Amino acid sequence: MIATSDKWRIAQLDSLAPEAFVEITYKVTEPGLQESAVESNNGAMSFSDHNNIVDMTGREHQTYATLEHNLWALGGDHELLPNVDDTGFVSSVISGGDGSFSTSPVITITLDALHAQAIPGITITWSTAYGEYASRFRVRAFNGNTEIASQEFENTSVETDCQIALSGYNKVQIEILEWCLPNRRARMERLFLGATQTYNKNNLLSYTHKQSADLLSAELPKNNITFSLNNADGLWNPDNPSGHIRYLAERQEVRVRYGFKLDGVIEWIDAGTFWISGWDTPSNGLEAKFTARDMLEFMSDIYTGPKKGSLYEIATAAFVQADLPTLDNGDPRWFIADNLKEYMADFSDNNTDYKLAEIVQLCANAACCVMFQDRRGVVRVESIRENSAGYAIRKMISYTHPEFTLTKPLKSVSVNNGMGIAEHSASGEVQKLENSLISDETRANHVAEWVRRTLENRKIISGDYRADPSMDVLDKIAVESKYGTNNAIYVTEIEYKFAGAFHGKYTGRSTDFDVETWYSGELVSGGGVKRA
Amino acid sequence: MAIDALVYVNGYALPEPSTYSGNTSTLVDSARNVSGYMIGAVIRDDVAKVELTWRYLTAEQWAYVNKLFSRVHGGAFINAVRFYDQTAGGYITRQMYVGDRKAGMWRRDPQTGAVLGWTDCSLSLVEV
Repeated sequence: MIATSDKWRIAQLDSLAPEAFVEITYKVTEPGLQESAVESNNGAMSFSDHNNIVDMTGREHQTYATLEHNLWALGGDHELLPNVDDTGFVSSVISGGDGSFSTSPVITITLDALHAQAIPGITITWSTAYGEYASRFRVRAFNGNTEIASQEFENTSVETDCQIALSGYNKVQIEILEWCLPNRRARMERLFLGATQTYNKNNLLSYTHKQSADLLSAELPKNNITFSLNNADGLWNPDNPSGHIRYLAERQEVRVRYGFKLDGVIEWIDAGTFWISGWDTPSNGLEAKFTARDMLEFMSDIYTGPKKGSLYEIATAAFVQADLPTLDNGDPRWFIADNLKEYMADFSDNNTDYKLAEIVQLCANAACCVMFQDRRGVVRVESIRENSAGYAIRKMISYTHPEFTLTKPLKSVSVNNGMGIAEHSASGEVQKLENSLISDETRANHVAEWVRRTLENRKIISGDYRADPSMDVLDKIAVESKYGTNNAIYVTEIEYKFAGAFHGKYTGRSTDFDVETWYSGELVSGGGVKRA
Repeated sequence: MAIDALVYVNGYALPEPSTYSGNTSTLVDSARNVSGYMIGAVIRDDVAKVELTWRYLTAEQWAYVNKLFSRVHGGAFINAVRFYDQTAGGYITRQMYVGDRKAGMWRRDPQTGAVLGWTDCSLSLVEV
């Protein structure tokens, strides 16, 4: 479960749930563009951290004392240098009495190559720490020494969306002509080569979010969204020369969050980070449809890393080879549990071409772990969470009674053609598992027993309900049946549809934990229940 | 002293209506749960609609009102409407579309044949 407030959870049990929201933020840029940028300038202070202003990270900036007007140390309101992690760009020149500069600070972004793909502009964050900004500046783009675009902007905001279509460029310059205050240095915290667009329920015509994850890591997890936007004005038509379609590219980042209006304030939770994988914008259509997928979109190359080592090392090599984009704070977009360091694998005599995602999946399977992408957009390989907050899909919020299906009875589990065996019953199906990253009998037996314990729970339960989108795959929840009993399941599939309100479908496999102990029946809030 | 108009459409005052009724809707996505009880989720709160009627308007007045919503006469189907909202308890401005404009002819001038006025004129404005 994604952490929410008590108000959120209580609201889920009302006959009338509060107004719900979906917000999609789409970064319109060229994948890899930020990473290829190098910054230079015509004069910066010694404490200026301008080398990393062009990246995707969202750092916190602090105020610090300088000798600029009203920025003296004696007030006690500001940090002292060098106790500040990140200052961003700070110009060496100070603005005059009218805010203009004797020599305009110029920040130059040089790119590794000529970029033909169009971007709709650049986004500049001036100084959120001080609440200051350039009140007048000029953006210029070059192909070598040839200027291909130039535009002057007047501005009253610390974050400026500069709409200037760029294509066929390898250098961008920002010339700061006037600062919002006199006697101050020009500052820039961040520069994003591209634009950010936000869509909400006012623009969305449809929205679906599907997630699935396998309890045994026998299949790759899936996490994707599809949504459609109003295209009545032809903004997304492929043949519209001024339309947005020219900025659309695969693997552009999309972030989604869900919200409920509680006591007049919208409480938001992360819904996920995705990457555009396809779109359908028929010329005569009234809507434009988009699909965005999880991080595994980036992991379809053939694995070329080491074939011998700990599962941790092998999985890490796969992630490194995938060269995944980082999180906002610069951290990698993967997490591998430490217990994978304990298990060794050697598949050097196996010539199968495994994809990167498959290698990670096999590592997860061999270590008895699950694999999924969390809501921050991090692919995780870890033991299944035992500490899910108690949550129940109660009859009260169910549109259908839960459907029960039973899998075939299990006789035994065989790993790698008998390298490991776990017997279960005298008759039934023999479940076979092949994993070339399970290299020894001890591990094979361990995995076989883990599979047996998972599959002995034969009940698959599914249903439709008024969804609380804080529920995630692999959550351990209770489902209230027609007879009032509570069935404990691990959620393996969820589908959220949003058409002004959330509808949900879930599927899960029963687990052997004592649900009546776990589910004390005491409601703490919403669909949630308090653990005994 | 002339009082301010009750309803403005794109900044143009409507004649003082004879009746004015307000309607506030909560849009709800609702269905029955497995026990047969209604459960729902709010899609949108406080969607306003106002209905106006005039017992009598001159032909010029009714044409003036109609042209505000006629695209061929420079008007629009959806307009910024300032009106008295029963929920807000005050005047608010919202984007609203117009419903059917309906009126009955009062009479014609027996000498010239000119239409002299309309009775029971009505229209509604609904928040988009």
